Amino acid sequence: MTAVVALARAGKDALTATNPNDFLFHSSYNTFKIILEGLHSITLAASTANQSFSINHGFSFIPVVAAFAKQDGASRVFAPNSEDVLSWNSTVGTIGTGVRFNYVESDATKIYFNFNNDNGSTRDIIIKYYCFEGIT
Amino acid sequence: MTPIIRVAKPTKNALTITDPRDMIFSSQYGTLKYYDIEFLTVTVTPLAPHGRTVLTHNLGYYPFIEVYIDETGSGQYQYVPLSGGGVAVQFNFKYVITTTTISFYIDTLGVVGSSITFNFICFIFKNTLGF
Repeated sequence: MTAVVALARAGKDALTATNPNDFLFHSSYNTFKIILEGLHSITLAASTANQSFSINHGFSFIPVVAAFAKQDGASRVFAPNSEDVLSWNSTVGTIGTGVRFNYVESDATKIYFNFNNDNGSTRDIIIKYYCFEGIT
Repeated sequence: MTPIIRVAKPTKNALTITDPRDMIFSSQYGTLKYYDIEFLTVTVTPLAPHGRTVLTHNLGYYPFIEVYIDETGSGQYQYVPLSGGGVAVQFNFKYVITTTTISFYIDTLGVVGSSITFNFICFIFKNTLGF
């Protein structure tokens, strides 16, 4: 018989529950471990699309990555595949700052961050990145 | 020596493994701490093609979040931010996080006929983004 370590949610019985959602932890189900996280500062060149930046992740496998971005001095965070939304109104919808976080991706050695900057001046960006377990 | 709690995957030895892919759990690695799930609805129409809803979290920091969206009745959830559409219709779904709120946006182009209702599902984690 395989030993199990299980911690049930409040109101659930760890000995009888079978739904994974009823557990805070269960040794039969993998946890999504954060194996690396950090902040990375970049400066976007003016009036330039498709700007790529990278850092080494140091793993022997391709990690799952997630990232968020914030313009230096701003008080809002935006995600990949999204522009930095400055404001909104019902007539035109979202009004962006001219900065777009196009994507985050990883390969065997690096994490890549790609941005557009439509502004006529540089923009300083802080990126929060996470590496989770390996894709491969 | 710092004590470690580690649960290995089947056939792996918890005492000797070093690759996180071999572990079910290890106290050496952080995890996302699930805090809350919120369901939010936004409706767009041909005359009002832009929508927004704001969720107040009041955590006092920028939280890690995961967002999905589906069109009411479709049962097909997609990851947000998301851009897509077809020949005549375009959709753009995105969000912005502040230390007190999460704003969800829908911009559409080419919607005709009746209104369309979208459902955001937002998973909020206690983990701070650390900005």
